[in-house]
Amino acid sequence: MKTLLKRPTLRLAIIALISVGIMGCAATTRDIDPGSGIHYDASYDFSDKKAIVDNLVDSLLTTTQIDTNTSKPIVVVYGIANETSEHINTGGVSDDIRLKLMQAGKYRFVNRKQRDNVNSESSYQQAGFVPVAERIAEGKQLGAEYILAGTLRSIEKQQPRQWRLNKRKLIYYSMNLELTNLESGEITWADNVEIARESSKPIIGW
Amino acid sequence: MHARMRNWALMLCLLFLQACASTTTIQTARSQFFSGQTELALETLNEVAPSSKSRLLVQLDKGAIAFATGQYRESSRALLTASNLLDELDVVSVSEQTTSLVTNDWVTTYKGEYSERLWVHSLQMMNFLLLNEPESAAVEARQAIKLLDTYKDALKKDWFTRALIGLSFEAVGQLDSAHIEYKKLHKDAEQSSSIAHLAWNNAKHIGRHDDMKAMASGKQFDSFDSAVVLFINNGRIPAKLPGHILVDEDLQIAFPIYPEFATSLADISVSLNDAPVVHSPITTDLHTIAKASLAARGKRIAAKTALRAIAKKAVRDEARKEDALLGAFVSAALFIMEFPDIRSWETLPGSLSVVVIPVEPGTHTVSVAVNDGFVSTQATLDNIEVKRGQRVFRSFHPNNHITEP
Repeated sequence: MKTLLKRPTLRLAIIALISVGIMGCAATTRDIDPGSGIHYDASYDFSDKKAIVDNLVDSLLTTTQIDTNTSKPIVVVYGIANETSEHINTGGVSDDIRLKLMQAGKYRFVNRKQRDNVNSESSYQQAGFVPVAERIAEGKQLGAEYILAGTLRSIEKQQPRQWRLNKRKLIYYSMNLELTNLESGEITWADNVEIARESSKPIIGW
Repeated sequence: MHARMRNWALMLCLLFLQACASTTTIQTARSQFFSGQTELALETLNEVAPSSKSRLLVQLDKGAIAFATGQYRESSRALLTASNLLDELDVVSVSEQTTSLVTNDWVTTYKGEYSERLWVHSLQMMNFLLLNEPESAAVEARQAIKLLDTYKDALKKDWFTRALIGLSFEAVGQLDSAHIEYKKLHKDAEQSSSIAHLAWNNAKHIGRHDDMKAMASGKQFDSFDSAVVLFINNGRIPAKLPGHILVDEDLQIAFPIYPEFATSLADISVSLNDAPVVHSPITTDLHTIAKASLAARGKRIAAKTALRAIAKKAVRDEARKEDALLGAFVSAALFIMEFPDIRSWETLPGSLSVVVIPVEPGTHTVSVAVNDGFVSTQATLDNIEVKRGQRVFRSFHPNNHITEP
């Protein structure tokens, strides 16, 4: 071994190997663009969320089925049901859709999540702790005209069990969103976004 | 050659000892749990190195211990980590497999039996239903279905988990998905009138009249909307045992087995507002499913054991050629190291049962008594408020006397 190490080429090769090993082990962080479409596997991730939100918001802002020119429709968000096999927080999708629609200035929203807090605060004010002049007026909350709700579904197919070096998985996501008219019960607008992705994972590792 | 052989032998012994260290800590935690020191058991499990070959067992044990003590949020966190680990570990490691050919399977990372992978989802479904998060329970139900489809023969008699899948879908309002699962379950367990009633009730709600007739098969069922659903987790799953066959005086082959005794399920009686409940529990004997699951891996275990016997014989013969003393040392080391991988999820209960008690909307009292032939445990759950159309979930752990979520 000592004789071997005296050879300069071999010494260099060992040093290079160690350096590569150390560099490979170094921890790194970097900022990435949320819209860059990086996927480590086939499952749902932030770029899917962005694609879903962008597509559905565009559709809602350009639809001719709802008149947003004469008045801003008042909407209450009832959330998105997760019917996939993954624990996905769909609250993030509905929050982002609401935010973008509000920023576009074409819709108004009733805050359903804060309804209990709004009622509690209102009751507190009316209970006599707050001067009459400073109390908020009761019976002036906005009445929603539309319900915004949706469903996220997925279908997953795995390669059958057989001799192979990679395990391939195909996932199809479908996100449906609909706007229901509260007065008539009619679905005034509906659209969906589909994402299909294949990933492969090695079966054998070191 | 002599020195190289010795170094290899020493390195393999070290690897083997390293694998044993984390298992000892896990066994200590289990003893603490079984003797009622649950918090200490959870602390002990935290001492196991995150890179341990048994890291999956650490999360499984944490999940089961927290569940048995009514800490459903903590349990769901640990089991979610276990679930992610199972996905991550779904790779055959060349280095581990090669090392295990001349040592034993304790040097490989534990990946869980098929049944244990399913029970991660069973416990999670219960956790989420008890935490009133039915959407998450339904996610777990879908993951459980994938496993039941993949390992059909080994897992199909897990009546409890299969009924729980239906209940999870019903809880989130996906009655059609529940119907599909209840229909398959009823086909496999026609003799169970509790399963037939659940399936029939679901079919009635979605207007499947033909299925209703088939499910009732002459029996008279009453439909219901509101119910108290009681989970009963009793006893303790048996541990795997080492099995050995002596090939010659220097060579043995070893494999894991489950004890062969027949499990007698505990007698469970439930009453609602002091009146006996006629619906019998839907129960899974975990020992039976664990045995079937291990048997399903039998051919792979046998092939690996045979391969190891050949590899060890070659190493032993080579060492003997080199030096008689070295040969004797290597032979003894290989003989001692031939010990089967008997790691398993030992903190699970022996049986999982569910009783669905139809009720009218209002406040109810449910009493439960479990008698396993040695110990009889009773509990009363007061003031259970049930609204119209609501399913209220409660869990009873006779070993720990926990009844509330």
